[in-house]
Amino acid sequence: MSWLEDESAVPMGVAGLSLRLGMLLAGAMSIGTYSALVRGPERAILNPFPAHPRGLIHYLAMRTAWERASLPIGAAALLLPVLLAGHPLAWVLASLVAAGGWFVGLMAGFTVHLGSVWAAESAALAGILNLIRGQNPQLQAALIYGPGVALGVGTAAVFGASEGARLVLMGQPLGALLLGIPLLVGFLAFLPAGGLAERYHFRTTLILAEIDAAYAVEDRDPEQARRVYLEWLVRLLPQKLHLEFLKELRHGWRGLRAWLTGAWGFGLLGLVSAWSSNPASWGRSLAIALAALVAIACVGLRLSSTDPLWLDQTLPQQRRVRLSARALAIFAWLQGVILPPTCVLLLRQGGGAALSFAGITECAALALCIASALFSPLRGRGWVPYLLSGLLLWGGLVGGFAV
Amino acid sequence: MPAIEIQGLRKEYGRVVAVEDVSFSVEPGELVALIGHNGAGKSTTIKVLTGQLLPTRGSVYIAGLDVLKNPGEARTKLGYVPEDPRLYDYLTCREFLELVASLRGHSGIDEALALAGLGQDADRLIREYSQGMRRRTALAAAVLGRPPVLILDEAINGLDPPSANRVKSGLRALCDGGAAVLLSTHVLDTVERLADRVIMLAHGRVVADERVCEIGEAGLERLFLERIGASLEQLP
Repeated sequence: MSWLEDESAVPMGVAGLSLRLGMLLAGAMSIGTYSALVRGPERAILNPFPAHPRGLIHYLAMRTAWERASLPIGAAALLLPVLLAGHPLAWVLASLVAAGGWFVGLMAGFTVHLGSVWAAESAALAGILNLIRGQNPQLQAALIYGPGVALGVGTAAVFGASEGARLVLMGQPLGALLLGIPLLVGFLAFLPAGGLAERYHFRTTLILAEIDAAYAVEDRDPEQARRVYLEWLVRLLPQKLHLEFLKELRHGWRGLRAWLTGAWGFGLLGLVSAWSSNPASWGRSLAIALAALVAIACVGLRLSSTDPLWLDQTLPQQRRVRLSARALAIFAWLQGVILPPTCVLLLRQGGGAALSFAGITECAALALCIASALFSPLRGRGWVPYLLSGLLLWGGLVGGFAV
Repeated sequence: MPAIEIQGLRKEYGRVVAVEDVSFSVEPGELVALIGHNGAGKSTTIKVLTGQLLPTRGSVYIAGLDVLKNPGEARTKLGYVPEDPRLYDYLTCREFLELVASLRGHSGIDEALALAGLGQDADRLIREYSQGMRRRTALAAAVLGRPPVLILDEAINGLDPPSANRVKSGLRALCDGGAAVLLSTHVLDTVERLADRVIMLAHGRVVADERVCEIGEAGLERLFLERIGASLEQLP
């Protein structure tokens, strides 16, 4: 954050930094709302009962906000160097912009995910969804891209707010009005959520059952059952890792497929961001890619939540082999985040930019996959040290290289 | 009006046909057992009935309500115990039932606890419960407010004998009060003692729909082996 030393560069620096942080928080909340609404535990528990969808959405929004209240606080903490450099107003404004991203991601997320259920069944969108579904069932395609749409809405709102912060710091008080954009967008986006919940909350259960059934049928196909994403990598590894590595690949592909394909979604976002000859796009892409690496590498912890605990307790497990296999599998999955923007940087900004981008992100991916694998035996308790190390890594590298 | 009505149900999972042309109804006050071999289509039928799965073809009604068109309203008429009930582990059984009672707009928690035999353990956290107690908690939640239709997916399996007896008596009492019960089970003894009628599924089709009292001395097991065994032998 060298711009902190140059008074005239502070407004632009704060706008750029707060935009990235706001986007990160909007992205985290869009995934958080998906987890709470679509695949959350409430659905399985309350499904047999005549739950009130409108009330349930309000409850889920409040619970998600409470559970993720640490994110804007963490963002404000990451911005502390701005305060310590003697820019209290800039720190307050940047923190507000980041919190705005958190808020708009939360509020828009519920509406977007409920709208995804409509999109999944829409005859008009069937052709498009079929084109972009990859190996997923068509109904799943709409749900997969839901968090991306919520992130898009959040990014637009946060961009407006970050411009407001810049204008205020340049002495134009009317810019403060722009800081309210995420609040306004968030409230407006949440307005239809109750009505959509009435129509689509129970419908979502049906859609999910169809999606799960489609995956199950796919897995019963003997040809398909033998193939999982990146299975060919097994051949490149030492023999003693083969079995565990294959097990991790199968576990991830069959249990957390959306996360693994999500890595390529983030890669696409990084690609779009890097598609510029402006050197500033390098830093922007790096910030996005590092955030995506932190998000996707947590699959190690998610995998551990469905590991059969009794096997660990009753069979002599080769702990080192197992954790190594898990770390390697995560590292392989993370390449989806890194490769697309690297290729675009190579095309648009040359080998130096691409090499430095790939070097930093691959090192970060290595550190994150080791952290995720190492903390995975802790199961639920592993999230705190993982997220803490992830945030520190992201903050450190973005602060050191991207800003 | 039947309490449960299925007409021409077909469900495909890709190329796999899970149930084909399944039709039956359950009248108020009737306790009907749904039996069949593993993979016969019992769970698929129950999931469609409870609005968790879309049928490929056919119609499904609970207390006269189309489950697909009025899922929320249909749930107010339905008590359902899934095979693997999910519960809020951090609540006590009584707190969980209070939540369900508020959703249903009914009281009767003590009555439900008595039927499930959980009165003494009602104030313990659900996470401390055994599998059988969890299943009984789900059963208590299902019978809260005395819904006119009860659908139980393997709900009695795995209960200890005193609990199973209490639950069976409770179910019989609910039927005598006019509720319709559809019970999926593998335990033929339970069917013989408890059910008014038995519907057998094999390979997704109804192969028998008989009143238990008319099955005769040959017994249910023989009928099961005749109808379902014959169906299995026809497999390629």
